[in-house]
Amino acid sequence: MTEIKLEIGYEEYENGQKMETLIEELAEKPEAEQLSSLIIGSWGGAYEDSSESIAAELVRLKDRFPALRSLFIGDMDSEECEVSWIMQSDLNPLFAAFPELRSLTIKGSTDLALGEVKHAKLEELTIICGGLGKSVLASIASAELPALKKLELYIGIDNYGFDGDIEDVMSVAKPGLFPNLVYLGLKDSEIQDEIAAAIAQSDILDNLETLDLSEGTLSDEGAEALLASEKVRRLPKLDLHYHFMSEAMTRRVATELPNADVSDRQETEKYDGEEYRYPALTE
Amino acid sequence: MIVQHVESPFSRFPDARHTPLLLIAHADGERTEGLRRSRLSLGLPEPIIVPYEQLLAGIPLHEAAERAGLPTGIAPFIRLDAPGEHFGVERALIALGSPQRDDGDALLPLRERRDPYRLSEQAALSLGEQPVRLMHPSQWFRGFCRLLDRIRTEAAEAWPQVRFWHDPADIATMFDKRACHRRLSAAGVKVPALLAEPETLTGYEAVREAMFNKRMHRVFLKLAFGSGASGIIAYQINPRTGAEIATTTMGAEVYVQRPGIFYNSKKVRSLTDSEQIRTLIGYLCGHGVHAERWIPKASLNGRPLDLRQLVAFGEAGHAVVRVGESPITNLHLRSQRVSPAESGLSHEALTAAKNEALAVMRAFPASSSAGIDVLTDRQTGQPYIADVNPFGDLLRRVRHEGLDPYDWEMKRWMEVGADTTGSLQGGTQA
Repeated sequence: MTEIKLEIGYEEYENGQKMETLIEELAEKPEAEQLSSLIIGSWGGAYEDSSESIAAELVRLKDRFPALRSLFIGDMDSEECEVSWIMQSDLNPLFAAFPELRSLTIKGSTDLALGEVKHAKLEELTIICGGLGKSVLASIASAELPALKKLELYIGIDNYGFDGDIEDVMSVAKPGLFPNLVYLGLKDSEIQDEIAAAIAQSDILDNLETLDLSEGTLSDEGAEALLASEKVRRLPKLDLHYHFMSEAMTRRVATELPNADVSDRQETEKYDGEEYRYPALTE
Repeated sequence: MIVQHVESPFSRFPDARHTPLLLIAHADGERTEGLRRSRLSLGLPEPIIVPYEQLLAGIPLHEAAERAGLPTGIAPFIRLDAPGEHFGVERALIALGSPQRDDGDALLPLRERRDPYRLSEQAALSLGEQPVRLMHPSQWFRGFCRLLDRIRTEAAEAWPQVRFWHDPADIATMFDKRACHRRLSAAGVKVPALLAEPETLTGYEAVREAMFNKRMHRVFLKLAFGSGASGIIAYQINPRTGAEIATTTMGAEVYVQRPGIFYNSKKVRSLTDSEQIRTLIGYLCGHGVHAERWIPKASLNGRPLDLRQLVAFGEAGHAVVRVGESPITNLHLRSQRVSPAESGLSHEALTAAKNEALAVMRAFPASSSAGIDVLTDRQTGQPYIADVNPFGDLLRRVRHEGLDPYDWEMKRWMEVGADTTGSLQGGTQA
């Protein structure tokens, strides 16, 4: 496997360097033909310039990357751009342009659209963001991804773009929608308890190897729903790390669900009689 | 072989074995204790300790020194240590910075600026202790610089041959991030680009205008004389949406009738409310702000890191990498420490950081040591100096050449300040 990460530093960005140019230069090199994994990091000023022209450039040069199996658009952290400020775009054309792609990771959800998703071979789809819009959830809910094994979605909070409700979230977890799905992550959510309750008895769990409800605001309420489910008890792996369960509940879950990761417990903040819990990526 | 007692250009340090070390510090405390222990273990006489409190109570330096055991007529090597974490001293320094004590402020950088809401000497002395509260940073610093000036003057009068571990004027410059940035820039040391000259940053609007005009949308705003994570805001504006985020430990209680109360909490928060942000930035600008570009720092497992490099007597010693949970990596409570080898920084980046730290000390030739915070640009590996702390040698649980920082500094002093002059040149050894 060969992997290349392209990124533009602050100075380069200020000097007018463009990600499209880096992609074009890469496409000219002999290693492009062998390249199996391409990571598009910060394109500089990602809070004002979207990924639109980057996606267009990838589509234009798609034939130069025949071995490409894994693509990451927007691999940057808060030292470069706040995740909720990363400007994405309509990435739908990538699905048709790279029919051999197995894995797609997207970071940032502002202006992100996926459109009608159809891809015969994609096995992994990950969206890391501060808040996922319901239009993107709807695209995934009606996607044709027969090979999909892993779906990992950061649901996030309304302030950062999550404008849906539990129905919108659960629409991507319909049993049978992705017949080969073994990893389902519906995580980093401010309605993590609702998600836990809604998924606990779902038939989708029967085929899963991992259910990932980590990094959200899961509290004792959601944990109770999980504990009450035989399907959850049968899961080979349950990822709950970064949670707001009480110490007692954390111990109980650890005992009763030995396959659960209950590390990184958070304390609920109390202020003026209100309780505050924040998902991991939005704090 | 005859040992010649000739001053070589390298022997600007007094002979370590025979020169008393006069320590102006808190009487007890980790730093004082560390130095004392280190000297005893190396067979050197105990340091002669003059507590800040005595000087601030008006006792002349030479009198306090003799009272503490300094033989009359012997010029000591004077080392000042951190005056912080001692409320009585903090209050006395704020009082010393009061209008009643105005004295021309010879050592105060940017002395044309006016402090906001100056406290009278009496008002300062009646301040009560409030642990996390930022008391009156600009008046405190004014007072500290006055004390530095007094120490410098009294020492020169009492002992014409006196030498300092740090030149008091250097301490003032290192402590003032604006002045320090100027000194380092002028010396060609790599520092993050300045947002704007500090005199122009009069408040929230001025800061934002400079950010838009310069297209520098991500900056660090630092209280000019803060230490550690105190008074630091990682501030970013989104030119497309107008949104803003201030990541900081600072908080404020705002009143209509009187100045607000500002404090440092233990937790880093990300503020997005413009009014709150305006209040905090206004406070920094009122007391004095240093504003520089936010360098995208190298990170380890997605956590940004920086490096604290100790330099003493011209050599780089202990280095500690701090991995933060927020952009503010020097926040003690939440930072994790790793060794340079574990940091993921390349050998080249570490060497470049060390060399830049050495360059910092060449810009302060009259000072022997500092703990220097170095950032590494994640893209280029290029080092940038973020802070120079003259008292930054308290580094726990880290060794260099098998020694803790104080032992190593003493050993360095013995090497460079040996009475075999010229030993640094590798020449005439006895």
